[in-house]
Amino acid sequence: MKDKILEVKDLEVSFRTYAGDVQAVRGSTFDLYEGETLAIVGESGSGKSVTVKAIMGLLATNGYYKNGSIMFEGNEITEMKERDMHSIRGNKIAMIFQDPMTSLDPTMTVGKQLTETIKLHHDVTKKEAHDRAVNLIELVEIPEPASRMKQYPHQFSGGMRQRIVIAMALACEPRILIADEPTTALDVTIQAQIIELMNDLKEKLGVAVIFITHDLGVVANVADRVAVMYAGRIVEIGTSNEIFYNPYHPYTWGLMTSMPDLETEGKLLAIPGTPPNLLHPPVGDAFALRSEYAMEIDFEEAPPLFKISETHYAATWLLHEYAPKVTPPAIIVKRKERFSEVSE
Amino acid sequence: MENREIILEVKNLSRHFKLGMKKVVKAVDDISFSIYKGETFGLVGESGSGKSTTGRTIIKLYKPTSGEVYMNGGRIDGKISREDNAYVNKNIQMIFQDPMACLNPRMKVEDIIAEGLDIHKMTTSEKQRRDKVVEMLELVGLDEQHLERYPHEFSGGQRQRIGIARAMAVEPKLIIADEPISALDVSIQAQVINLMNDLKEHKDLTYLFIAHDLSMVKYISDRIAVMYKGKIVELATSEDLFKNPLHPYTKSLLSAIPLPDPITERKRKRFSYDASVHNYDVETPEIVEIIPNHFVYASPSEIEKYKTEIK
Repeated sequence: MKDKILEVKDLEVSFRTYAGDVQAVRGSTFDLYEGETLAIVGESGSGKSVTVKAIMGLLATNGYYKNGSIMFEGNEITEMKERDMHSIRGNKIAMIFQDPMTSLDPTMTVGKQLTETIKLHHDVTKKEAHDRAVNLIELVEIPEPASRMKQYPHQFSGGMRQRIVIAMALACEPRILIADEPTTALDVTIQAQIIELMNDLKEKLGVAVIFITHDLGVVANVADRVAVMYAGRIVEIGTSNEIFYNPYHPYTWGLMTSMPDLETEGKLLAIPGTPPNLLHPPVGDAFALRSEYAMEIDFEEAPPLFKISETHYAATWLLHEYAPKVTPPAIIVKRKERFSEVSE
Repeated sequence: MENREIILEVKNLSRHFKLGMKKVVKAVDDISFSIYKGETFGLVGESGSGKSTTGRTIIKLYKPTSGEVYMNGGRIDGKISREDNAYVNKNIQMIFQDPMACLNPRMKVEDIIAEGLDIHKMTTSEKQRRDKVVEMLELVGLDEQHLERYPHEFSGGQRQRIGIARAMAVEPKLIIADEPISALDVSIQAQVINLMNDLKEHKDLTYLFIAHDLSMVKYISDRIAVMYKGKIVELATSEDLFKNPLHPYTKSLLSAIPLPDPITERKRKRFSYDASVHNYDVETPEIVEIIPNHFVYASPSEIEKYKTEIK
């Protein structure tokens, strides 16, 4: 196994509001290894974006770290001062957002924005910064980089803009690249190109990627490992094969059955109800209210992460030795049949 | 299929937008199709392909630049009589993408749903009006206790249900759904799609389903039209379109669908579409029925080539 570069342990993040504290992240634990892509999947409000914002030290003013730790290169991020964060944020951990237009300055040429980033973090001359910027634009496969440097963001298409944002994020050769729904605003064909580019860059630069998305199709393409989040907790984590072909948590099952693939016929198996309000999170397993597999204990005590294999963990009481054996939905059974095929 | 009743027919429809003095954007450029009664007709394409403009032109939010739209054989575009206009307004309803933007934040749910009923004078008493609204709420999985609430008190999925209830209240024949689920979470999407399918069965509806998510369109549609830069480039039954994509744009679109399946994703081969493969300076392309019920936009020589590709 490769080296750990980031360790998140029992992280809890809350936001103070007039109505009380919203417990957005309620204990998530995961590691990030060098050069891998970890996808975090979940619905809106599941805490996936808050988790990565906590890693970047970018919580809103009413947000605070309630508990847990985030270790990066021997630094405890939850206790770092804003001034010290400057040497990490953008430099060692960089981030790409969903909408490329909002992360670029419309009044500045793309070249200026890139060179400024480079000059801020490195001690280089104007000329060196310029050359480096041209190289970066070339790296993200935009044709004619030198003349593109002089253009403004509005002169680029959506896909090209996202490429520029990726170039900016890579400007300081970060060790971790966090991508928060980077392709959601793009068309399918453009999305496919950006994903291909990100996969190539990961190989080329050896940067570790945390990829946040709600689209399981995208996850299947990019991820080495997958963490599924629900109501502020990681409910299942494992390698891509384990999550897609051998899932154990009823929520993971629900996500997979509620999405049609090209062969789906008949009714979709939707997850009933809506996610819980994290102002007053339910006692026990937060998914129990929506799950047909819920048992009495699910309403009393939250399940711990049960170990399935060295790399695969799921937080459901169904894995307890006293739990009854349940049969997952037919689609999941079919997926599990393919697990032996991939694990060989 | 030929003897099925046609509910909506679009003939050579164009909708151009003027940008400044000289520039013209041909958002919809000479397209024709028919929607059969009781089917779900999927319209897919990327942003800027003209799929939403098509839907909006049909429901008369835009005036067509040229072309005609017929409903049940009667022409509905342009200037029509007051009675016809009322008929169209009642029988074609729309569901929008953003359920927050399409509901008036200062109106109660009851009034939102009853607005169409009031306009078309479909109820005679206060009690009848309320009963109808409650019936609609129950139809979409909400209930009486939601009557007095405002849109902001609901979640995204619930708001979309209210949007559907409002559209359904006037008992329309055709519903134009413009990306009705793309703003919703995965687990909620399935609920809304199941609801739409149930309603279609019980209320004898026809859908024009506009979306960019191809696996969802394949799942819900009987026939699919693929749009590219204002043109329909291919139109076929959904089975046929996925089995036998002929136009290179359709092929590239199908090859880009992300599937929740790492094995196929690893083997994926994408095609990118390059419009310069067509040599339309020499030959004029047109939409041709290449095999029964499968239309493709191509030039005569391309038709010959496509014919050999059909499996």
